[in-house]
Amino acid sequence: MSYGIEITGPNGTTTVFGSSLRQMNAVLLATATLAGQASVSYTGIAEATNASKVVVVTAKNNPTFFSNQGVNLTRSTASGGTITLTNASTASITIKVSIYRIS
Amino acid sequence: MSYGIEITGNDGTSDFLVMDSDLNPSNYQIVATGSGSSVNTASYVGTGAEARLFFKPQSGGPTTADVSGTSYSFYRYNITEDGQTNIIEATRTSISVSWMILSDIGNTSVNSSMGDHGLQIFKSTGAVTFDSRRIQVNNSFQLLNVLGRGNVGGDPQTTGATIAGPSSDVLDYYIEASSLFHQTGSTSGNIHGYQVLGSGSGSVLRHMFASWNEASGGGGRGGQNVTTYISNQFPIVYGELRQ
Repeated sequence: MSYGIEITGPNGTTTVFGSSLRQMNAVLLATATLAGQASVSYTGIAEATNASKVVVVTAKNNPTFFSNQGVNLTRSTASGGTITLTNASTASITIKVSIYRIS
Repeated sequence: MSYGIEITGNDGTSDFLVMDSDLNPSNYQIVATGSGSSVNTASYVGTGAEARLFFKPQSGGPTTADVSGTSYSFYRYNITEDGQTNIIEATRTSISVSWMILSDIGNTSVNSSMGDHGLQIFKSTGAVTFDSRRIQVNNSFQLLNVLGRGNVGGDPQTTGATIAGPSSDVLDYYIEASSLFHQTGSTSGNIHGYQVLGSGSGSVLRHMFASWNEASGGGGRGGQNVTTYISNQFPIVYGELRQ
């Protein structure tokens, strides 16, 4: 490369981070256990209200048929950007939460 | 930006954001790559640390997995239908797949052989978001897209997703595995898997998401084999290793 920044991996030759590479884009990975109708919020998610840039993916920790139903998503600008997930059912659920930034 | 570092990149096509401390980013890196019929992400990032497993679906039958917390075991389905797109049997065989694990760079250890040189970037909270000494793998991963819920049909015979990215061959792509499952008996069940059909520029990703009952054995309704194919109930997250 002729300009910018370049970081190589342990072998000293393969570029793994730099201004020629789009990066991983994961913003947050978490696991949450929600009681019936309970919520969890993740704050400090820049541009959280922009659904075309910040994508939220949930999956049940031990997935089953129709297991992803009942989790509602809200976005707000509070606290530097907030993603809130609410368990709409009355049963407790444990979910994997992945928030990605699309660039 | 008000503090820290901002890096704007360009890949010859367009500008993009590489890093901006103002966004309080978390930098996720590949902590391990490999292949095999099973893998436990906790073996690479420690118990309790968050990680996501991506795998390469294969041709020859939908790939599925048993997922239990941080443990994944991979299988290929052998689907038998009744000639009218109803499943009457879904057996499976353990297979080896290529996989990679994504996790926060803070969950990896510092490579002491790299000494105290390199680049560190911190969030406003003081947590590390990038540390060149913690890079474990000579590779990088590009998240390409997230196919939203309900956009990809569940019948692999009639539907498929066109995967857009640097490679024209879907066999090159990795898919996030959290939502895979298998709940199947001898005459009924629920299955979820991915299959690559075709090769090269004509390849597509096939998504199987089905609930089936075979008439014989008492599972069917009204004496009929019944299979319900459902569009992706979970977003499909995919990307590509660069090396």
